Amino acid sequence: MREKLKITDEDIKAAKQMCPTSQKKIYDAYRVMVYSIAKRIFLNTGYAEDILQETFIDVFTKLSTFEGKHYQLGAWIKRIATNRALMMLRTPWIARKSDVEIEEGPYLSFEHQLHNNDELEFALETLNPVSRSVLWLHDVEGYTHAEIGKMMKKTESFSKSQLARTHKKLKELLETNQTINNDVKEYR
Amino acid sequence: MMSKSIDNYLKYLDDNLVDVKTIQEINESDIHLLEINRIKSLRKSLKNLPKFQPDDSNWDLIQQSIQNESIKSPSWPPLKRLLALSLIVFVCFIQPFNFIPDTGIIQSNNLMASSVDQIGDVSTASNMYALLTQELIYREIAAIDMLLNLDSQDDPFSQNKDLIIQRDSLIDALLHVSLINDASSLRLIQL
Repeated sequence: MREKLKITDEDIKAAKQMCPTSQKKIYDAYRVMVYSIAKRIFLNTGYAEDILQETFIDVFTKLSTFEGKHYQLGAWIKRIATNRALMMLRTPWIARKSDVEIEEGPYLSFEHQLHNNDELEFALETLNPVSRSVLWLHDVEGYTHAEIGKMMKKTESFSKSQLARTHKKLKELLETNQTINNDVKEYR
Repeated sequence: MMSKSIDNYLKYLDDNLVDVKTIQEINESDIHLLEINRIKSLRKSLKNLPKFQPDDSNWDLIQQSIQNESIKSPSWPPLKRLLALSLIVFVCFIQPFNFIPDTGIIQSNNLMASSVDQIGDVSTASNMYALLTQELIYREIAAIDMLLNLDSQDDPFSQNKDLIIQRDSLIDALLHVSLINDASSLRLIQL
């Protein structure tokens, strides 16, 4: 297992002066966080890599504007990554795709879900990207509804209603999955 | 009474997650608590999902882009500031001194004064052009004053007649081109 890298104020100072070693250290410390947020929102390696690259380009070109301490850097990078991901989510092509997914229902086939043991992962994959983003940002990353609403260029109540609907949908999906698994076990 | 789906779901939570009441403990009044626990458990499960490792090749692309960005932007603003500053220094300080030392100043100033005369006569000359000309003349006068001061420091009785004549002719020229307003009148009086 990789040891978690600790970033110091000196690393940040050096990275501001474009020191490649410090930049790589910062990248190594936060790349998993950034990539995971992007991958959880888009479920797509290509998009997640785009977000990862754009986020760190932003980070290193705007690092001179960061005035916080080393322990605040993670939150700053997370915010850039989230904004980048949500910005991509709002692009017409992705937004259209999300609408189609909402209308057509589950993203993955039921059959596919049956062959996988991790129900939660697959339940997540059946959600549309907007609902998944709200769920992930609120329940995992710890953003408030007000923050999510602002980042998504929507209202706070949009975030609240999205989250409530997503919780309900997840519950239904997990219940359905459970019932199907039980039926499969009985059949066997 | 609990529905079968909730029953199943609770069983699922019991099997997989912690911190959830067992089915026996739940009654009608506990529905709200059950919902809270369900969401808490869901959050816990979501947080425990595995993280993703990006491919190492991404760093090369990022580094390349950062280098391109740094070539494009960060060094430019200071350079631009320096250029602007040098231009100001040149216009304000160096340029007047270049005119003064040789006799060319007389000719150039006569030329300026005559063109100023023309401008003063021509009613269509724009205010902007008049202001610019006026400003140039003020600078010439200031430069002459500086030279006269330097001369008087070396020899208190010396009088550089050429420069004094030159100064007077510039003040005459100023009277022709000065825009009539309080600020310009005050400036003229000070001369």
